[in-house]
Amino acid sequence: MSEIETLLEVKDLYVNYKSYWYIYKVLNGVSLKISKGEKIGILGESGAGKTTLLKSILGILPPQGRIVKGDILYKGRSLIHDKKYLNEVRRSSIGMIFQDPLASLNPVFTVKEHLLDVLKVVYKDHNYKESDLISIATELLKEVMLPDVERVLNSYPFQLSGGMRQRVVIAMALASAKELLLADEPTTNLDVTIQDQILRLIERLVNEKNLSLILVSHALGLLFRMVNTLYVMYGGEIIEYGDARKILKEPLHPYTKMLLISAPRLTSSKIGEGIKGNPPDYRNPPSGCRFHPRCPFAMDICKKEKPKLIRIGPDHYVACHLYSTSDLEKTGSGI
Amino acid sequence: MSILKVEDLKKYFIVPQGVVRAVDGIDFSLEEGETLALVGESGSGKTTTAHVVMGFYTATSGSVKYRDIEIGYTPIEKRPLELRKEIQIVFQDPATSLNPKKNVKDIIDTAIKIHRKGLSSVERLKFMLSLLEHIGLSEDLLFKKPHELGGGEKQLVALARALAPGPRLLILDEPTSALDISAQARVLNALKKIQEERKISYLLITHDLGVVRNLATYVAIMYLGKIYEYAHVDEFFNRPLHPYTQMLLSSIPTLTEEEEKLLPQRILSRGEIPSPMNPPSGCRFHPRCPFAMDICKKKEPPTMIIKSEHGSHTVKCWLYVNAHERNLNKA
Ligand SMILES: Nc1ncnc2c1ncn2[C@@H]1O[C@H](COP(=O)(O)OP(=O)(O)OP(=O)(O)O)[C@@H](O)[C@H]1O
Ligand SMILES: Nc1ncnc2c1ncn2[C@@H]1O[C@H](COP(=O)(O)OP(=O)(O)OP(=O)(O)O)[C@@H](O)[C@H]1O
Ligand SMILES: [Mg+2]
Ligand SMILES: [Mg+2]
Repeated sequence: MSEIETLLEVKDLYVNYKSYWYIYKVLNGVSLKISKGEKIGILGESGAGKTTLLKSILGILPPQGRIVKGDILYKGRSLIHDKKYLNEVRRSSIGMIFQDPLASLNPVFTVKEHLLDVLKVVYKDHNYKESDLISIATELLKEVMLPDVERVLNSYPFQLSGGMRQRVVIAMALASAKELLLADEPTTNLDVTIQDQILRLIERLVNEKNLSLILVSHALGLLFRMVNTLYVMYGGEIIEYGDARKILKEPLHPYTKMLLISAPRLTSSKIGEGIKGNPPDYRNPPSGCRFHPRCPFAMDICKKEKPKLIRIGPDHYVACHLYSTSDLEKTGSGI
Repeated sequence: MSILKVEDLKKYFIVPQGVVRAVDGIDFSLEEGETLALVGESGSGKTTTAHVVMGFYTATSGSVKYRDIEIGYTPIEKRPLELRKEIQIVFQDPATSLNPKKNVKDIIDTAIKIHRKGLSSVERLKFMLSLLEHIGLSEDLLFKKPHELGGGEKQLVALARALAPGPRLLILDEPTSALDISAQARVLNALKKIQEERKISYLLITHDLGVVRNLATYVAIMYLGKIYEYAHVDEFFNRPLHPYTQMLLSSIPTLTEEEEKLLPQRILSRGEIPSPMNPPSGCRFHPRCPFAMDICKKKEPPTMIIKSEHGSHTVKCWLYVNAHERNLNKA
């Protein structure tokens, strides 16, 4: 892949959160790459660091969060070291759909005020009148299939249903997503028929505007349908990545395997067990492979050495000592 | 006696642009120890229904009975403590339902203190730890504040808080949508186990039909303020009758061929999303319905009772009224 095609590159990123007493070492060397028009998905347990990763990209970590190592390049230029460039990219290239629609809407402002705020920034150089911006806002709300656009514009967040708020947040993100859309669980509050329509909308935009997409979701069927490449995160690390369909059908990492078996199925009313044990305590994360305390196959080496991501197949990488045995290396599938 | 019985419930909101008919005449009942899933269109009035049961809103008309006592017109602050303890809720937006200034321990402890008087602080802590264990929350979160938690972790804290008082009726508004698959499985298992042990009744609001499959006893399908289909969960998946239900099921993104086979043939979701201020005439689904007939635009369909193995299966749709009666109705 040539450098020109690459839109965004996250390089060996480390992020900590600091509280009064503790340091939480969350992201622990995360790398990923996305090229123009590519659609990638991120899957992982709650607390794995997915939102932290997206917020780092946009430079909107809370004050307790800090990037301690690594870099984030957008079209080859660092977003971390060049704040002016970051602002420019944030304003006119990247849009983000936040996970918590209510938390990203201020309860004392109406939907119209929220949208105008965003639009004023996005169209800073256009000299639009307020009425022009309102008609853009109206169009955006129609695009995400909200009923009663007039009422919605004048509503406060609490007057809307969960799914309506979520669509407002999607509309705000679409306003500034000209090249890259970061979607943090964009459709969790929507019924499947509207989810389906919104996904088709996102698919259409991605295709028409050649947008790139990073989709964080727990919904396997949705990832299966929407993304080409899937990254699986555990405890602040990428532990497996590659062709989405392949990983969803034939996962390699024990974590991914256990995660996929847990999914509730329509075909039976038997629920998977879920993965026993707790996610890592980030104040004092496990040595070696962060998953080892929960892994039924853990070996001695897993406690000592952090496994590297190695290539297993044409488009499939995994970080697990089970796969880095000497025979694999002999057959040349190692790095 | 049902634990919850709702009859012809309406809840309207007056806004400057007009009247929002959020809930527009619904009936259902929930039996002790069972789970009723309210499923449906976004904005169809599910949360509003739950909030009337909770007493956050009072009903516009109709009736809501908890064990035969009318509660639809009693706001939460006027409800006796015993009743408040018995009906608990887990909210759709975990982020905003937790007090941002308190840490997890205090949030759960407050709920235990109010409703379980007489426990010493050591006993309360023990109780709390067993609750966390049950749900699968790690202890190192106890001293974190809500903004320091991941989305899923917040939802688990909200669940722990709702379970703390020992409710008899638990309203779950999208309890798992913020959770990852593994936490989902754990919460679903925990909910199942808790229900078996304590015979708690659940009013479950969800968009996830996988969750419905695994937790519900009965399913009610809502669309724009009304219930259009009601059935036992097995019936619901084997024989969905209403076109909206079929559209709902066929829109689920699936992973395996077996799942795909289980779903009705794909009916592409389409059409404008109608407004609860100005609902379509006749059957409210008709503008999006691929099978809409003339009469559907003109007259509200009656609720038909269809025979089934598992008690009543009802559907509100003209397709299930025989042609003769449809003609009579036209005249
Ligand atoms: N401000 C903060 N201070 C301390 N810890 C934090 C803070 N924000 C997040 N964390 C911790 O960082 C970890 C990663 O959080 P993040 O929100 O990125 O997870 P996530 O993968 O998005 O999870 P979810 O699926 O639940 O949304 C969690 O353990 C969380 O508790
Ligand atoms: N306090 C309020 N004031 C005015 N309108 C309201 C209020 N609360 C809800 N509504 C309106 O009532 C309708 C139903 O909302 P409700 O939250 O019950 O939907 P829902 O079925 O829970 O949807 P979702 O699945 O999206 O959460 C919506 O049109 C909403 O805008
Ligand atoms: Mg998150
Ligand atoms: Mg709702």
